[in-house]
This record gives sequence, structure tokens and C-alpha cells, in this order.
Amino acid sequence: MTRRRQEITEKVPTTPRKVVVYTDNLMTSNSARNTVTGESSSKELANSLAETLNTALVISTSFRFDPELNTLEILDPYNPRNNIQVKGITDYKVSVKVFMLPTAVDVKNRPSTVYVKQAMASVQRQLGAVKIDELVVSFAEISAQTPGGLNGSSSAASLIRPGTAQADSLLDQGRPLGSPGQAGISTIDDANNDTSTTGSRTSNDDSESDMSRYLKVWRLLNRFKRSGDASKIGISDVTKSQLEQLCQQSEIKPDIVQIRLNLNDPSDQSLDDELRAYAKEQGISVSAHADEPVILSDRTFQMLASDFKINERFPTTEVAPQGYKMDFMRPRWVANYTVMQTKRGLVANRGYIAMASSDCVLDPNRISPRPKYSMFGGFL
Amino acid sequence: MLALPSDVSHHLVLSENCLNPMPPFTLEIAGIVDRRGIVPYTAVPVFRDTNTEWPFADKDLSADTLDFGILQSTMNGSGSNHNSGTNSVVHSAGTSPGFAAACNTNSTIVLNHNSIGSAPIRDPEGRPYAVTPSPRPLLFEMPSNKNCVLLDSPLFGIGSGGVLRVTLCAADLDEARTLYDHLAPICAIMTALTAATPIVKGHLTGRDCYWDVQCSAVDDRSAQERGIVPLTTAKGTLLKSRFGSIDTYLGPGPTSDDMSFHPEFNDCQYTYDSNSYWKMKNGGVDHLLSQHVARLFIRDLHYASTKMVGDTANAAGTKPRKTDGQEHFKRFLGCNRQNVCLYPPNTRAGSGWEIEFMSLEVQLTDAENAAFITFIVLLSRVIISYRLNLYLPISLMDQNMSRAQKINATKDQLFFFRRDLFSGRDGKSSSSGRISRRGNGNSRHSAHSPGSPGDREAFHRPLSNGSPDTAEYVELTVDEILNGSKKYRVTGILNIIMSFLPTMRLEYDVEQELRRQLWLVKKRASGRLCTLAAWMRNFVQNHPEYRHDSVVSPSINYDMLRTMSDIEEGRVKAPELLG
Repeated sequence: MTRRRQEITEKVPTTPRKVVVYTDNLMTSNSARNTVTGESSSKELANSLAETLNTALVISTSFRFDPELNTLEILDPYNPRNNIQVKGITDYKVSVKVFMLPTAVDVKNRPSTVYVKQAMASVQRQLGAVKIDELVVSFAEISAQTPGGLNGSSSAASLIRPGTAQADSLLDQGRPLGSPGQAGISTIDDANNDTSTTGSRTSNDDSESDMSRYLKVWRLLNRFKRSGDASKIGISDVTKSQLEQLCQQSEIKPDIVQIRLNLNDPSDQSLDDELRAYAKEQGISVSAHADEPVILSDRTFQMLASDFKINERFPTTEVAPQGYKMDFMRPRWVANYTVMQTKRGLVANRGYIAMASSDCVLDPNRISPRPKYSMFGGFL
Repeated sequence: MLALPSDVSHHLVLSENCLNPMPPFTLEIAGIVDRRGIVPYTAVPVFRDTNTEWPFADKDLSADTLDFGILQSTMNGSGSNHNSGTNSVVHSAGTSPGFAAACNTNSTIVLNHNSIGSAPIRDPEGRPYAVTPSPRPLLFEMPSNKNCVLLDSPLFGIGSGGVLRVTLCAADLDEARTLYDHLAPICAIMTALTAATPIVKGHLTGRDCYWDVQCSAVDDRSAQERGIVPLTTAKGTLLKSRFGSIDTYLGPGPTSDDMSFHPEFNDCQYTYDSNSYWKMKNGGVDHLLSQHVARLFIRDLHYASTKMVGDTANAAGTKPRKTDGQEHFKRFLGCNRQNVCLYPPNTRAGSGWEIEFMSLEVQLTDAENAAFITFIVLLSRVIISYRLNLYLPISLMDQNMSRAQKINATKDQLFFFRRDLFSGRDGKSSSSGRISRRGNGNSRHSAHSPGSPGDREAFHRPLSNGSPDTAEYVELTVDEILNGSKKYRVTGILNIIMSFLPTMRLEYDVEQELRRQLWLVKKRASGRLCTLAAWMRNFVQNHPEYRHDSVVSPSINYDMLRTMSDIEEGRVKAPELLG
């Protein structure tokens, strides 16, 4: 097949390959067995994804490929089933937490609202048209900070941490456009057509720029709340100053703030007293979670993809335009949904949805001079 | 002051003032003694310390006159042990000091086999009662009467002395059955964990828990039912007292798709009333539930108020209140008490299907009690949410129960438990159907007849000793059961609960508090904190006045109670107990 020569001005494939994987109901599936020994939720996620992939791709094929959207959907093979079948009880509460991974950014290197919308749509698809009672978002960069330890000024260091994790993953060839972590990376601002560096943060107004990155998503959440799709919205793992800024800058207060709980030592709660006091004043309810900072790393996903040969399932052959190459699939977001009967304290259904996509990236071996044209990172 | 019937006042150890003279209590005690024929004696083995008088003889009561109030009896060679008991009763009738009345009653029964005497009302038509579904007899440790402290009154058991009763509400019958079945194997573990009764009647005993004492103190089985005397008018031999551990699982309901239950789990002998059984079965109730309820009708109620029964005759002549007998049935259910009890809904009171969990002993402080109750409640949530499978053959469960009451059971004893709690619901099991036993001499019963290890283990799959990490049932310590063990590939129950907690999306403060409580349970299980029984033993043995003869004198008692009161009110710290 001859390689099509593309003009530089031609658009690159606008619909990169997407994979969405739905896990089975974790309350009833076998993967629950392996993961409740107090281990991390990232392991739980990895295990349950593996199990779904195994069932769907290896044992019996239950996936769907949509060529228009270039999406491979790997569905829950058993269909979501609430495991508590009690006739007559209908008051379930649905709680969703969306983990925005570091790669879920748009051109301006901010977490993109598109992903949140996708996450909501997937949850609705999985559970049916339910009203979501709690919608909490977690940004990977914020969660990666040591709780309470870092303030804004050293956030550069903290942001590098997830970056370095990515650095030793398999994809260190080419610099992915979307990732914010590496200092000195050049990002193209589509509006101005010139390069600017974003990775290096100045130390003084870091916290400010931090939270403003998240404003778009935050405002989207608020729109969900206003339109009734979500009853309560929340954010997770923020420090007090970040929370304050978020409230001030957007004038939207979250209903819930989540703090990470140390599973092993319940007496250790000194770190968040400030935050809790502030939340109490503001009327924000505080809840706890035990999720890891990096819930699904690139490397884990790569391993899953190669173990279960996800790439082979995409029947189309895509060709990257000159100067670019197709990146590996990176996970963009993970959504965790929980369906419970609150009055009785039972959990009927719990699972994860993970989405990964690949896009074109600058080929480090490119010959052509500096790119001047629009390149997008992390588009749909 | 009501004159108490003579049967009731007939105990030497307790004064009459202990008994509440209200009719429910007096009738109950009188009824127990009446039905049994003699006062139920309980024998609690004494702890042998360095200076304990050995062989130990209870100063107040003599062992010779006892027709012992044993909890279980062997069916193998039932002649041997009982005959000796019977013989001694016959021989010593009339010779022991101060027991003339008791002995007379005894001899009445022994000599007149066919007389009804003080036996309760039987089925007038004398229909035969179906005996056990399983042919295999049960082997138990046979407590002997030697070197025991003797208790001679039902008062020692009535009123569920020192037990926390946790009542859980289930959404429907199926959920209630699930909870009943899966909470039962935990009973033994909780009994061991909350052990709090090492001292009985002024002596250190060889047990840490009160369960057996309580069960045998209210044992109202007649001599025939106990197998001492041949069966004539009794419905059948009953292996257990009316208070005891459960005899059968309920199994999942007929409409449930749960496949984890196998009928072979109910491998113990018990007797049930075939009349009631057939009535229920013909009415559409499934087999296991019918059997369970029919089992209750083997026993007799000792009193019933006319109001509850709906008696039409009324002294005042006014219109009697119509009742559908719900309260009466509930009272009847209360007479039969097991580790976990199932209570049907009461439409008048608005309650639903309930499960009562009875195996927790009362702890010293409110905080500890709350922690254990929280544990049980969260465990029930986890059992339903994760559809855990804790089934254990009943014979193994009964063994667990007797192991749980030994001294320091939390640290020293091994309990049978299912290794993999998550599997089995869909009928497939990831384990071989085997039991892995540890070669630990302590946990074996010496009374087991040597020829029958294969007999006991004849489970539904051919058994051999499985390897520990694939076996279906393993013997584990309490620490391993609750906190997990990598070696045996056991997910600890506490780990399951702790990881379940965040998914309930509770408020942060609430969750912190719950975690602190679970933390207390965890430390008790792992042995970092001692149980109340261990603490009490320690206190007594380190007391200056203690002479190492297992006698707890009143002054030691007073000091101990005062210290306990101080701990409870916070004046004294007890870090080894409370952490």
C-alpha cells in the first residue's frame, strides 16, 4: 500500500482511536476476591479491566467497533445487574467519581470538558438513564500531591512526578502533545501560532494558575448540577487553599470534598483538619476515599492493551500524516460508579469505566522544520 | 409475697431473693425443672492451677447425685456413659445429704419407666416423630463431672446472662435466610473474641465464655430425651438443650439462584416434629424452612399468657381481644434460642424478618460493645453486598463452638473456616473440596473415637487432606480469619469490611469513627489487646491474696470489680485491654 502523501495543510485524522472498557459489577465478580486485601484501588481497577478484557476479547467476543467514531467499546459482558434483588425497593443512590488523568487535556493543556461529558455518557449507558446523585471529579495532578504537604509553589515538582512516571513507561519516544508534566515541553497554542513553554512554572503564582486550569471542568460540573443531571458535585484531594481559590475564582462551591483516607491507620487525621474546618464553615460535606493518586497509569494500560491485543481489533489502518506518528493509546479518564441503597447501607453495583485514546504526536525523527500548523492534542 | 412453688426454691447455691417473683419468671423456672424432672445441674470444669485441690470437689454440691446437665450427649455407645450416670443416681438415691427431695424425684423417674410423672404434655395420639435427616451421629467432647464447679439452677442461664443481642432487619425472607446462614459460622469466632467469663461461682474455670453454662442451665430435656432412659413417651432423643448452637442451615430460598448451599452442610442429627413439618410443607413452605420451624415444636412452652393465646374465656366477662397469635409465636420462638435466631414479621408491631445474633458477650466499656456491634452490622452489610459464602458443615461449626470456649481461644485455638469467601455462589468453587487440617494437638478432641475420622469428614466430595492454600476449609486462628493470611490465601473479614467502607460514601467523621471501632476489633483479633477474660485471669493471678488454688475470694472479687468500674469510668487506664 503506497503511503498517501498528505499535504501539510491537510488535517490529520480527527478521530483518533478510542477504546472504552466497562468492567463488570465488582460486587459480584471474581475480581473482587483478589483485591480486597486492603490493596489499592488501582490494582483493583487493573484486575477488573483485565478480567473484562479477558472475557470480552478472549473468551467470548463481546465488543463493538464503531468505525464512524473510531471507537472500540468493550462492554460489560454480563450487562449491569444490581446484585441486590429485593422487590419493591427502588431508592438507589448513584455516585460517580471521574478521575481525570494527566493526559486528559485539551490544547491549552487544561483538563478538557469533553472527557467529562464522555464519562457521564458512558455511565448513563452502563446504568441506564439514572440520575446521578453525586458527581465527584478528581484531577490526577492535584491528587498526586502529598496531602497537605505541598502548596502551590512546589507544584511543579509534584507535576513532574506523574510526568516522570510516564517517562519510564514504554512511550518515551516522541513527546506527546497533551502531557503537561515535562518541563520545557513545547506546546502549541493554536490561537497564536507560536510556541510557548508551559511546563516551567513560576513559583509564586502557581496555585493560582493551578486552579484556573480546572475552571472549565468545574464550570461544566456546575452546569450538570443546574440542569439536574447531577445532584451534588464535588472535588477530591484538594488542599484548603486550592479549595478556596476554586470557590473564589468560579464562585461555585462544591457540595462535597473528598479526602484520602489512610486505610492503615485511622488515628492519623492531623493533615486535613484545616480543610475540614473550612469545609464545615462553608457547608461543604466532607467524605473520604481510599483511591490511589494514580489510578490507571499509562504503563498499566499499555500492558493490558498488549496482553489482550487491543490494537489488533481496530480494523482500519490509519496513517499519520507526515511528520507525525500514531501514539500509543493512553488512558484519559476513568469513571467509578457506585449504586447503593443508602438507607440500608448496601452496595448493589460498583464498577469502573476506562477510556483511552491515541492521537497523533510529533514524530521526533521528523525532518521538516518547526511545525507551524495546527496540531491538536487530545482531541476526540 | 408470693409463695414460690417448692420446685423453684429448691436450690442451695442461690438465695431465693435472686428470683423475680413475677409469674413469667417463676413459671419459667418451675417449668424447666418440672419438665426435666430434676433441677438442671451444670458442671463447669475448674482451672487447674498450681495449688488447686485435685481432684476438685465442689464444696456445696456433691457430684454423686447428679444426673448431669450435660449439653450434648454421644449417641455412640450411648449405653456406657449414661448407664454409669444412671447407676450412680440409683445407688446414691437417698444417701447424699440434703438432697432428699431431688433424689426422690430421680428415683421416681428411674424406677418407673413408664410413668408420665412430671413429664410434659405429649401428643395424645402418640404419633411417631421423624428423626433426623442425616444418619450420622455426632461426636462431641463429653464433659465429665469431675473437677467441676456445679451450678444447680436455671437462674444461672435465664435472662441471657451477659450476652449482647444484635437484631438485624432483613428486607425479605430470602435475605433473612442468607444472613442466618452466613452469620452462623462467625458465632464461634465472636464468642472467642468477646470472651468475658472466666470466673464462675468463685473459682477460675477452664473456660472463658458463658455459652455452655447458659445452655445447660436451662436444659429442660426430660430423661428420655437425653437418652438416659429408653424412649417411651418422648418424641425422640434430643441432642441439644433448647439453647444451643444452630442445628441446620436454612439454605437459600426456592426462588434464589444462589448455588453455594449444599444439603450436606446439614450433617448433624436433630429431631423435629413431623406433624408440624408436614403441615408447613403442604402449605407450600420449602423443605428446609419447614424442618427448621418443625424443630421448634419439639420443645414445650412453659407458660403462655391467656392474652397472647387469645383465650376466649375472660374473668371479667368482657369481649376478649382477638389475637392472631403473633406475640405468642414470638414468645415461643424465644424459648428456643440458638446462636442466630430467625424471627418472622409481626404485622402489628410493624417489624419485618429479623435475625438476632446472640454470640457476643458483654464487654466492659460501652465503646467496646459498640465496636463489636458495629462489626456485626457491617459484616452483615458486606455479606449481602458481596454475596459472601461462609458455609461450613454444621459438625465443624459445633466443633468450633466448643473450641471457642477454651481458655485463650483467641490466641491458641484453631477454628474451621471457609477459606475463600467469594466463591461458590455460582456453583463453582475454586477450591478443592477438602479440609486442610493443621497438625496441632490442642485443637483435636480427645473424645473422638479413633475409628471415625473418615466418617466425620464424609463431606460431599471425597476428602483427603488438601493443601492449605487450595483447600475449601482450613483451620485458622482468629487473627487469620479476621485479618487475613497470605499463607493460606485467606482474605481477612476485616479487610473486606475496611475496603467496603469507602464505597458507602459516608461522611468523613462517621467513617473515621467506624474505622476506629474496627481497629479495636482488629487489635483484639491479632492479640495485641487481650480479651476481657484474659484480663480478669491476669488480675486474679497477680493479686497478692490469690493463693494459686483457683479460688477467687470475696476480697479479690471486690478489688477486681472496683478496678473494672474504674476502667469503665475512665479513672484508670487499661492499655492492654482497650488500646
